[in-house]
Amino acid sequence: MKLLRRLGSFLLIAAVLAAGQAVGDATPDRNHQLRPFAVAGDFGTDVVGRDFAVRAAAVRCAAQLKIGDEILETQGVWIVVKLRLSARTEPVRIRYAAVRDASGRIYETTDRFEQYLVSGGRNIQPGLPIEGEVAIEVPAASAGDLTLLVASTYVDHRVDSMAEIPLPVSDVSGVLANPAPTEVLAPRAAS
Amino acid sequence: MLAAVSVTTGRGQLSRRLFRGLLDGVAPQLRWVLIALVLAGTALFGGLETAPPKDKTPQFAVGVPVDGGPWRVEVIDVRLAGDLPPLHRQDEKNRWLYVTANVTITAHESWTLTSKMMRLSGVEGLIAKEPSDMVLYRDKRVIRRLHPNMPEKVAFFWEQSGDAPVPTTVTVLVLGMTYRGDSFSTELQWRANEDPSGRVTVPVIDVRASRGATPSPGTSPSPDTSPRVSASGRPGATPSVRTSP
Repeated sequence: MKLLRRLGSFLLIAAVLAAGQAVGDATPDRNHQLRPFAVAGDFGTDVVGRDFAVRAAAVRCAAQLKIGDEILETQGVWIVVKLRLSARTEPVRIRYAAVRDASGRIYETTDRFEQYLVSGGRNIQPGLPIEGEVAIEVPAASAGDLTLLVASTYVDHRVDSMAEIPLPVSDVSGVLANPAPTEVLAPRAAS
Repeated sequence: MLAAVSVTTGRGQLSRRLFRGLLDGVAPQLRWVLIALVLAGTALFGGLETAPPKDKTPQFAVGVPVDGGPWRVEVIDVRLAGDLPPLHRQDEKNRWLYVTANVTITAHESWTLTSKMMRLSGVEGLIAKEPSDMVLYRDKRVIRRLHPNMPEKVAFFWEQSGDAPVPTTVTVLVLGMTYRGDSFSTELQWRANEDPSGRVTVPVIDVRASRGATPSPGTSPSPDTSPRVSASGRPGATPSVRTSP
């Protein structure tokens, strides 16, 4: 009888622990809780985040970039995206732009030349949108399925908004077969 | 059931008592004899010495990839150079010591702090522990960011005091990180490992007399219509702190 009572106590404790583990496993982990708030939108439309709005107005790819007098090559392909950025109610700086491929890899804008548009270099005033292009190098195999990511945060994107816009890139093989340098539009006031 | 338990306990007590008795009878003398033998034996050869600390960092050969967690580094060579404009030395007597390596980002995201990838060991007179600049061989640009699954040949530059002896060999320590939580948070992040992931001992090639072999970094270009304002003063440099993988 005593042994049975002990066995019962043991089973009860085991059941409570198992239930606690199951509850813990069912809730999102800490990284998931702190993830950015994805604001998805279509290519060519304004996608509105917490403190900014972004529109991916055009996208093209290139084998080479012409930046000033320099030609920048890549082992993959350059993705050049034209952005229109605006502030919502207060001045804002956009500090992050990247693309995510189908496998989940994230490629940030290159630092091989200065990209003021998305490196926090331009203070955007409400009602005065700016536009320009950003360049990102990705492996050619990844270029067919890319999603643009834009945020006003720099590296810590936790629990803040991040715009997500699918990019229609289709001309990769043609560009790689006939490489020609392309220029990148510097930031300017949007028309 | 209860009878069986008590019999087992009785047998265990008996055997334990017997073993303890035997041990008490023999072990104390045996212990002292062994200690005396060790002391006498080591005294003949100068006594016991403090064991040198065991270096757990694995040694790798030149050209062999070292896995650092979010990156994989393959050291190619180490060179010594003099002036390499536009890189700026603190003193004209100082030298540049630079490691050329193939670097692959194995994390799922672009990596900005490339200066955290390696250190030099066994070199006197380094101005800083971290490399002061990283240059992409592809276009000789100063960079800080590399991208996943896109391996690049990169030169890491350290400035060495001109008063320090010229090194003939250098040990390159490839640092590592682990994607894990810590004692205070279950949030997973890339966190620096205490020990390097690998060491590569490399002979130093002195190219001070032959400038052509150096990467000769250039300045970072800007789009034509862009205002040429650089807050950091460093071409292409965008300092940051990473908190995500």
